Amino acid sequence: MGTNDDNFRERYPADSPTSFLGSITASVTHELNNILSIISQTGGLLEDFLYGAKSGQELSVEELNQIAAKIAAQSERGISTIRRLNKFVHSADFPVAAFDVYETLENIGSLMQRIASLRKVTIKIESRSEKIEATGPVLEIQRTIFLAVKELLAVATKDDTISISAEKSDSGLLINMHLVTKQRSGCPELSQVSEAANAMPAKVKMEIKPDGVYIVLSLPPNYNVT
Amino acid sequence: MAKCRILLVDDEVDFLEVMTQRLVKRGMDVDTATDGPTAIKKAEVVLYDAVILDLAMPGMDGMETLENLLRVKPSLQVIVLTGHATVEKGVKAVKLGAADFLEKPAEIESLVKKVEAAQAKTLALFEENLDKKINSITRKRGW
Repeated sequence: MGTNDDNFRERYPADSPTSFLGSITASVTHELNNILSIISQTGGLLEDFLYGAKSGQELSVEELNQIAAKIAAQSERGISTIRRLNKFVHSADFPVAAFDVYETLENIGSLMQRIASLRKVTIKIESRSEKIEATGPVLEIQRTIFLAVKELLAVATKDDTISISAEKSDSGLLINMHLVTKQRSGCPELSQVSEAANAMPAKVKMEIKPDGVYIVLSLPPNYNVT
Repeated sequence: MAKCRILLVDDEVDFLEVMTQRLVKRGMDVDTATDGPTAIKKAEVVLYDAVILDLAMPGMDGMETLENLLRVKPSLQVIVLTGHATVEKGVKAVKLGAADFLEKPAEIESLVKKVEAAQAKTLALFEENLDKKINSITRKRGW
């Protein structure tokens, strides 16, 4: 019999839906904390200027404008971050729903960008040539993409890019994730990604080429891809 | 006390700008770095009274930067800023040799107090070192 820790790890594995939600939320709340820190300190700077003004120091209009601009920029950044998180959590409203594929990729890509940035890797969603819509388990699809990108990040090196795109195929929908790298550190482990894909159901395959690593998630025709 | 010279290390440029303005208004000399390697290069050549270091940074993270800063300047007073809302990371940093830690967003007055304490510690260590050197010279010369 394993230890209590072993039992917990078996029951709550690192690739579980709960862990996925935790990772995304942790990353977003960290970003929001940074944004609020800046806004808070900028408000404090305004107080410093006002305190100085009471003692006879001149208030500079230019400096006040800069403060206003900074608060506006960070507020916009915060609103954008919250909107992305809101869109993400609402993908859990229904087990199966219709969704715009590229909008979903852009959203999950943006949410993962901070995690990628910590490893100095950029996530890029390839520009769409056409609108693609599908019906399926949106949250699970995002989780599978997250797990695949996590595996690519594990072997990525500094300044690499992970490019994500989607295309219709005869067999349904393909979501392509390409780690563009000249010097990967190891080979991605696909077992967790495959398990998540199989549960949907979907298929996942990996190819290693000279220009990097390709992971392709293949969603079948019953996803009503249009 | 002499003007305090500090190094602020954070990947958020807007945070560095506003903190620099606030700390300069409070009489400090402030240098900045947006990543670990730059911070380490600056610490190698400048004698800072304190370094304020964000723990979550891309590339070389805060913990690794802390270890490297203390490697180049073992008596450097480093105050870490943790945004993780846990005491755990701050305690780990202190065990690695950080002088203190604060949770982001930090109250400016709390930060200033910790910086002043770090400056006093830096001065005390400098004087202790100086005493040791003087004693060593007087012993060697038999004075």
